[in-house]
Amino acid sequence: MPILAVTGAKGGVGSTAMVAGLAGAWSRHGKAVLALDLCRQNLLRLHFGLDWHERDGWYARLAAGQDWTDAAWRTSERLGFVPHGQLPREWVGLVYALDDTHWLADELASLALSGDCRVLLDTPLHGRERVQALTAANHVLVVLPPEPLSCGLIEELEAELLSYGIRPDRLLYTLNRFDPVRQLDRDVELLLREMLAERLAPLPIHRDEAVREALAMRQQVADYAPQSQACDDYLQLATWLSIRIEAGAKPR
Amino acid sequence: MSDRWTRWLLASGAIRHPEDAGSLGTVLLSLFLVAPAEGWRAWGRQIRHLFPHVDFDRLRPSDVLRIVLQSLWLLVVRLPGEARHGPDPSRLLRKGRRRWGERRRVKSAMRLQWQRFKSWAVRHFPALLDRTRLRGSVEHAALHPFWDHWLARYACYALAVLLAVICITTPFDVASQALFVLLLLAVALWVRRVPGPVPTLILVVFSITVSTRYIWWRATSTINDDTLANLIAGVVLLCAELYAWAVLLLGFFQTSWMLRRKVVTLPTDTAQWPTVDVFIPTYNEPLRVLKPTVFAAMALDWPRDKLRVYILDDGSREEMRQFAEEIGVGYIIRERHNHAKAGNINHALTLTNSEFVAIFDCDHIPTRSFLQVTMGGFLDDAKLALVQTPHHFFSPDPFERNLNTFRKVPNEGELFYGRVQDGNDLWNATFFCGSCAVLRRGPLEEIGGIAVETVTEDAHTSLKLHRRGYRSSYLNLVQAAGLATESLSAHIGQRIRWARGMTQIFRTDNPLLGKGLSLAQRLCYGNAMLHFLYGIPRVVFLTAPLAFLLLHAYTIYAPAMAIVLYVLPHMVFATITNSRMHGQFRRSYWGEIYETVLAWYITLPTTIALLFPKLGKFNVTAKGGLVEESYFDWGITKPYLVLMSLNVLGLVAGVYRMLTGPNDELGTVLVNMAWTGYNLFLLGAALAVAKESRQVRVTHRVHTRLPLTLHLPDGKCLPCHTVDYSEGGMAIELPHAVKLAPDTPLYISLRRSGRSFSFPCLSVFASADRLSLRFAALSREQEMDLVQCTFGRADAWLRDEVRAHEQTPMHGLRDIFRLGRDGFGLLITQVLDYLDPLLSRLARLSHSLATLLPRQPALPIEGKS
Repeated sequence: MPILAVTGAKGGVGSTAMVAGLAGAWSRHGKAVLALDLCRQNLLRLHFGLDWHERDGWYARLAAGQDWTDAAWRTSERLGFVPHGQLPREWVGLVYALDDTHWLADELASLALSGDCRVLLDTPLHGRERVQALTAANHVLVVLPPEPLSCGLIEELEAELLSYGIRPDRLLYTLNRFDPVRQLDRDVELLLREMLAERLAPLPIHRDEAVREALAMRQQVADYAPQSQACDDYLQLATWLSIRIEAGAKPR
Repeated sequence: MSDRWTRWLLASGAIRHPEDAGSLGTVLLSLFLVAPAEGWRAWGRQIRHLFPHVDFDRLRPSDVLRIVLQSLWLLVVRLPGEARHGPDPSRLLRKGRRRWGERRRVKSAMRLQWQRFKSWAVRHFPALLDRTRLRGSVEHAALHPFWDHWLARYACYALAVLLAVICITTPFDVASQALFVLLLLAVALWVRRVPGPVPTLILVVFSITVSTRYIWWRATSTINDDTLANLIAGVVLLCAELYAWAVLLLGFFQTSWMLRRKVVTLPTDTAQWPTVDVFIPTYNEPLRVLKPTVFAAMALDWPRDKLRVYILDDGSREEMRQFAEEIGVGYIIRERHNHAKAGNINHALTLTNSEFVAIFDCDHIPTRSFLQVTMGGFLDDAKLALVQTPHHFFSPDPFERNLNTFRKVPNEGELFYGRVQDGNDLWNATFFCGSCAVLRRGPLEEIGGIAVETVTEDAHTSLKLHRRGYRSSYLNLVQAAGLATESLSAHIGQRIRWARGMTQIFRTDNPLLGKGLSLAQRLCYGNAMLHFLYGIPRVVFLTAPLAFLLLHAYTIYAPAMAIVLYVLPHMVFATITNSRMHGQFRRSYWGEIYETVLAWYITLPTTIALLFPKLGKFNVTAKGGLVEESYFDWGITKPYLVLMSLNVLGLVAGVYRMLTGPNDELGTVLVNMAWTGYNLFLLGAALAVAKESRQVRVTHRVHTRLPLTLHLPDGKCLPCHTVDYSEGGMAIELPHAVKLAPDTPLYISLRRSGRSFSFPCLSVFASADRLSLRFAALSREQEMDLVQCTFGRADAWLRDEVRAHEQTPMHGLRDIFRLGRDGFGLLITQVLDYLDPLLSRLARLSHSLATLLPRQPALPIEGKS
């Protein structure tokens, strides 16, 4: 079962939107997808149309001692997602299940999802949830901003990811919010392509106002602006990831 | 409000389709008439094609009349294909259908009987009817080593020659000849349906047999020597026919088998790749024509340190020098401007030193893959001295523009680049065509550089290379594209140069003589040169029937029936075979149009070159210009007007002879009049070409679908495709309507080798699904990127290479008649214009009245509409 952790190279580069976009694109390609929000800010739910005041989620269920899978939502026949859920500040850290780094990996394995179902993990930058996600994942997609600092961040990030035992050819990268009109963006892409070669997605995700507007409307981009460049880019990225995942499924 | 309004209207039953809620007109219409289920709008779109001469987007007052007349007319006629729908009141048609049904029943009964017979035969004689076994034994027999023995082989040749001699020389009476050609025709029509090269060869053999038989018959039994005039006329016509026959046979030889050479891949280690100089010779072409070529040449996929681009400027222009300096390419000028382009290149050869030289005319924009595709062969074969690729044009030539056949009918050059060069390649006889080619420097310097003795330096250079034992190859992959000649006179000028140059080579360095060439190479070169001597024979054919009609000279001394039985098969077989061989690259009979237009003009230069080969100078072909006003090139048409009036006179004389002449002459008169009529249509088509259509764009638009991103001012991006592009602007297809005021600043971005390139533009015009843009003040670097993202793409011309084979030769014949008719129409209006303004106004009035007449609607093909 392919488990893809999506993480930003730094904060605020659009990795949550990337999870929503990829989940939509894969389900449009006819693949079964489960998206899990592991970020404490609990924002993925907005991309799937949940209300701001909706506080339920796997974390909240765990804290209340309930079965966390009851917090899952089904947005279409093939697409399910689990919000993080919100707890009062003082409750954070009281969920002892997460102390076992393999908790998520075991839980996902015990779910008995079908073999070709894809799991997307919206991975935070810090905390126990990050450890859980990277321990469970067998593929990682790193979202890079089109800035020169991306080139600098990669080295350390890669060392961290490799320490979780993820195969180097399964560490994949994509540029997000890429604006070809700006010289800097173009130069950064050139540099990154040199550094990462095959592991950088062949097409970047363009900076497209439709993504922000879709979130403002609490819709997926594919529903809000199906003819936008960003929607097209997510589809292309999803296709590329499918190919990489299927190629990487063969043991080396 | 609109949603609720629509829902209310639908619920109340006022309208039947939500689309109709949009306008008051359709709502009112729905209130008073029973609306069609698909809604008025969809219905309106459907019935539009019933009024092909009405433009519903721009209705004019006269259209009211057109619609009324057309509606009345539609009430009384049946549309093609209509019978398939609904009950059919016509008795005649029903009867036909019944008969067809009966026939089908009989047919199926027969098939049943045949099946029964077959299964019986298979049961009783299994060995005889097992297909795979049969094929196996045939192949076994064909592959038997017995055939490799020289005796068997020569015995077969002798048998073939004997058969050919019998078929060609046996005199037949009319009935036997008819039987003979009908039998051959039956076999040919059957063989024609079998795909593959072998049936083509069978057709070629048939065609050669029938044509040679015709020539034999002409030479041995139709020469009339009763008067000197008759003899001369007869011999002149015979010579013209002999020429046509020789060219036909040589053409068959040249194109009998396509080599279809594949690209040789380069070694992965780029250290082994050789150095290449790219020469872009120019003389007086403006910088804007040269720019894209230079930009694309700089971006060729080749190691940077092994690629040098040079502009060879024979005009020594300061503007060019600055441009070259600014972008960092070589710039070469010379003091003495002798030997035109050849001299220019030779001069540059002395100043450069790479192992290979790629040459591009200044308007031929190469794709990035050019060198990667062409260079592999050189590394494999040290004797290979030349690799040529086709010349491709993204603007219409004068024929295509004036006859409106661009991308619909293959142009004049496609036969040469699609078929002839590929056929030459089999015999190691690919010619150098002056551009879009790579030459090895060593051999080129060995023969003294590009040949300077004639005005077609290119073909002569490759001839010299071949004489030294070097090889050439042809890759039929479009790897560069350029501008076609801009006007008919320029086009004719270019062809005159080619014809004159080839004739010069024929005289000064005849490929049939001299040493170093194989027989096949001699024949290929010989045909290329002979081909350009078509001027006089064509004029002879255009006037031959007049010898009888006007002067009563029997040029072919034979009964009319015999003439028909010999000439028609000769033409039919040649047409069928050529259509089968070249149908993809040349429509049947179009060669006659091309030749007819050029014949008069190349006659004199070729004759002079034949007699005095040293005369003549090089003229540059003008390109990249405009034709600002449509005009009729009277100067060019004059000789055709003369020929035309003679032919019309011939027709009148023919009618006179029919009425007054002896009865036994009637057949001959009719045959000659038919020939004259055909000639008249050819001449009419030649006139139609001379009507120069307006050409207003400075830059030509290339129609291609490229993916691109449109960046809108509000921060949104749309994935789009181009409809067409040029250096100045672009038309793109939008996924949905976008509201944009004219001159809104926008950006587009294109991807190339894993990178994005963006270009600032201004909107020109936006419609529901289209947006026209023009580029706004591109920097030099952006200009370069733009060329590399568009013209220089490796797949830029891939779609243009897909060509459909012509369906039947009859289409070509129909084209001739249509174009001939158009030519006459043009001529008549021009003459009326010239004679009297009043008359011309009357003509125009009658023409506009004619547009009111109803016409047959072109129904969309079912399933495709």
